[in-house]
Amino acid sequence: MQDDLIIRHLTGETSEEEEKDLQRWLAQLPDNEQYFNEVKKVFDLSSNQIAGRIKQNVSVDIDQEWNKFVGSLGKDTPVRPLVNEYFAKSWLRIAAAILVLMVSGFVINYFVFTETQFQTADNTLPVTLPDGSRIILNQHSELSYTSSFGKEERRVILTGEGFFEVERDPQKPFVIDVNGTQVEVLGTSFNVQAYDNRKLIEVTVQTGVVKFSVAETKKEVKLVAGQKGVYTKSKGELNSTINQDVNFLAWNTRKLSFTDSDLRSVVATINRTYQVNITLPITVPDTCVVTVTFDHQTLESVLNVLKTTLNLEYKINGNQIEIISVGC
Amino acid sequence: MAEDKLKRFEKLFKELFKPLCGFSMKYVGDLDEAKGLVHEVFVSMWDKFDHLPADMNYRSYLYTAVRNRSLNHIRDKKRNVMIENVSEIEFAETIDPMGTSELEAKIEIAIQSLPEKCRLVFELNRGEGLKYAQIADKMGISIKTVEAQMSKALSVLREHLKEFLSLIIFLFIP
Repeated sequence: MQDDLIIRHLTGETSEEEEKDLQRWLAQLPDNEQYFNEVKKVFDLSSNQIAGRIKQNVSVDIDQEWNKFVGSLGKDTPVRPLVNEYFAKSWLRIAAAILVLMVSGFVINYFVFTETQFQTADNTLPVTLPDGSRIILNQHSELSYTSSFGKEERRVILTGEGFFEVERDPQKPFVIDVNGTQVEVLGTSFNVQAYDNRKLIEVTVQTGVVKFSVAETKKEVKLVAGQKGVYTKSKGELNSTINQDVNFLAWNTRKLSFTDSDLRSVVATINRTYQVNITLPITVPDTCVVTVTFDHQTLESVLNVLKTTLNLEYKINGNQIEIISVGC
Repeated sequence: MAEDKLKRFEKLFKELFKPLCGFSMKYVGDLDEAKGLVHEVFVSMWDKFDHLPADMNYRSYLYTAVRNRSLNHIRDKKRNVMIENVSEIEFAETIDPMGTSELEAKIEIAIQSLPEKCRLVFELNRGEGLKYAQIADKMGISIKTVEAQMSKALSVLREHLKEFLSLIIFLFIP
């Protein structure tokens, strides 16, 4: 009760009668006055704090910052530029900007005449390059090349995933730029997965030989048919392993094959292939093992087969499929 | 679920990015540096968002994290060394614990830790100078509720700032 009165006084909400009440209460005991002072201090401090916020002029383009944030998710690069402190002086910034403009203008004039770009959303897209090489772009991917393609080398830029069948031409190496790494080939077929929001870049070779190199660390691995190169973006590590995933091209072929595969890896493969998000209960018994092949099946029929073989129960909500229980 | 997370996060981000930059600027003094630090805090929060308790007060979490990161940042700059793996929440007041900006930070974090409705009432009164009746009108609540929320705000703030109280009185009473 007393608190209400004190705060009404501090905010100027009291009537004359209440003011008198308060003065009377304060005079009653020294403790009362001390209590009042404490409340008043806290009140003044927080009032000043809130008033101070409003005075402070911070200019922020919130939509731009949000886009920047969304763009930085899944990447391991910090948003804060590391050279920030050295660029504190604005003349240095301006000089640097002018230099960058001049150099890039030069580069653009000299090397880049036109750019050809392919982009996919929820679809896949077959692309044929000027040299006859063929690429299938997976969903949410982008491929581009400039008019200097085929002059000394055949260079394309990829984000996302694509399956490449490259025409052989030893004079002009075929180079794929992915996020600071390069895949260099002569003539071969292989799959590149390099989505921005994934932690790994994976190159899986079907035929021929592929050189997979990281410009930053100057590391490289040679991959032959049946091998897979994995680059871990955060660690800068590049390794080659034997590809054990027979379904790595299923996003394109729509053929899935599982032999004694555990449910967890089956679900991971289906998620990748159909670009959905199926989740499992926290514990899945080791006995949930699947041997089955699918050829151009819809997601629905794949799920149906799993449902009957493993006694699954699931609910679908858009791209989100939750497996609630397993009966294996 | 992922969509939902992004939406919830966007709301939080758009509401708090700017005030957090202002808050960080009090330490680091430079808007670009402050923005970078606040970005880092949001990215780190995003990574552990799924593991944070659902009922937690994101505001006071974010303000505390920004404060600690800002303190780290100026300390690193001062000593010109990198110190890694300093946990955001655990990093204690090793610098200037009783400095003015530190007191301001405590007050800000105390305000942010108020329950949502309570904080809104308090900010409308103290920041925009609205009378009880105007706040009641604006928020569609009774004047009695406004009054109760104001009292609640003061008692929570007092609790948060208790350790500083003797110091505050010493500092601010001439």
